[in-house]
Amino acid sequence: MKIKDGFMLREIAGNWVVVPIGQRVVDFNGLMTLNESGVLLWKKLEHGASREELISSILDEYDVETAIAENDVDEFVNGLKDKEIIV
Amino acid sequence: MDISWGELNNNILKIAKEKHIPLLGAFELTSRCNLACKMCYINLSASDQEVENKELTANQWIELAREARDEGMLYLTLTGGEVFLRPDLELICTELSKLGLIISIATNATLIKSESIKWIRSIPLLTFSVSIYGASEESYYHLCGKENVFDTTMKTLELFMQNSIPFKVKTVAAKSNKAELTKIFDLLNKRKIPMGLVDYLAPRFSESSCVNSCERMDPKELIDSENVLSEHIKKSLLNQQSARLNKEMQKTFKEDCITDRNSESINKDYAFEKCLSGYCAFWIHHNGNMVPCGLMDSPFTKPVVLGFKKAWKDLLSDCMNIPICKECKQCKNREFCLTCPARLKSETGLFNKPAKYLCDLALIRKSTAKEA
Repeated sequence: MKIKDGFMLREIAGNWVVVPIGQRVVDFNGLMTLNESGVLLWKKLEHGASREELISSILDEYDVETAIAENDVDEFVNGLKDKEIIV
Repeated sequence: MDISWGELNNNILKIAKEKHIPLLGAFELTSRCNLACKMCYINLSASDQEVENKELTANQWIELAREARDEGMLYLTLTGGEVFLRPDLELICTELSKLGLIISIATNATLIKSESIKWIRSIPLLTFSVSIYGASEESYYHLCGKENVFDTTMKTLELFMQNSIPFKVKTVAAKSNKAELTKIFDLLNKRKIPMGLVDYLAPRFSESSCVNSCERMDPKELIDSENVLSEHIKKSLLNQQSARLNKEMQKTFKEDCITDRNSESINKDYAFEKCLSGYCAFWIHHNGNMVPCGLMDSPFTKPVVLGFKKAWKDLLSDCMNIPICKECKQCKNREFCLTCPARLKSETGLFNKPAKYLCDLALIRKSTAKEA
């Protein structure tokens, strides 16, 4: 899975915000804010990552159970899929 | 994960203000305009080649935006004059859209061709702030000095709506259009477009004479006009079916009137007490001078020469030296007053001298509030 071209992750006054850039690539024309773990997953997905790699990155960074990490990753990825932001 | 622009604003504005991050910028791309509005201070002739040659180039604006973005700018307004006079506006917007900015274009909407809609639609997060000046060709001609522009403006608004291009509309309370303010509201309300009202016209001086005083209403006249409009809006909206729309229409009108007055104060010993200018907003004039707010000519720094980062730092430092108006600080009518360094300088020539016009306005607002 990989983030489509046309999005920029920016830190604005301490908040992480995803801003669409360049030619509008999808219908999504709003903003997204990401929390710390969202930023971690987004940065992985910018270069392309599998579900397993994403789950591993959460488990490496945070002291959480695998089931919680899986749930968080699925929720995050499904949110991006709904907006057609990842391929 | 998704938040509205308003929510994002609330989250970041406070921090930007505290940390002096240049979150909001305005680029005055040109001082030329195709209209000649009597109350306007920046409407040099559209065909003035000498003026056009002095404007910053597209590359200069794009580089300034890149540098400002790196310092934290998120919101950028492109303004003029009339920005659609610039043949390179599409290029500028296209390049700016690659920087991760939320761009707003201020326009009179009289020069936007239907062919432009394609590139306008392709820019993410692009919104328009349209100024309209009357509700008929006659009033436009009287105030703006041009024929057949009212119809063009309305057609552009229709074009925006047909193509789902986000825009807001504001008008200016001036002598020439005061009788038309309710008609302008009706015109917009019929199309479900909220109306913003600019209720303060700063005096602008050119070669020692005031260039727009003929259009500025005196305080009593202004408040009366506002009250008439406000009552008209209330009555009109009461007759409408949609409660949501009703709320939205009222909110927009009021917000545009009181934005500055509601802002939070951080430092009581700083001249910029309530406004975002002097904290996290800047304006770059067509000549490249960066100032805290578009009403001001000074203090200024030169970001094209110094680089944006240093120019911003120097500007904040200069702002610290702006003298505070002690009388205004202690005034018992202060909560009803529009006073700020930019307006005081514009009204009196000094940052720290009370302005009679603002004092009179505050007094009337206070007594109106008491009566209410």
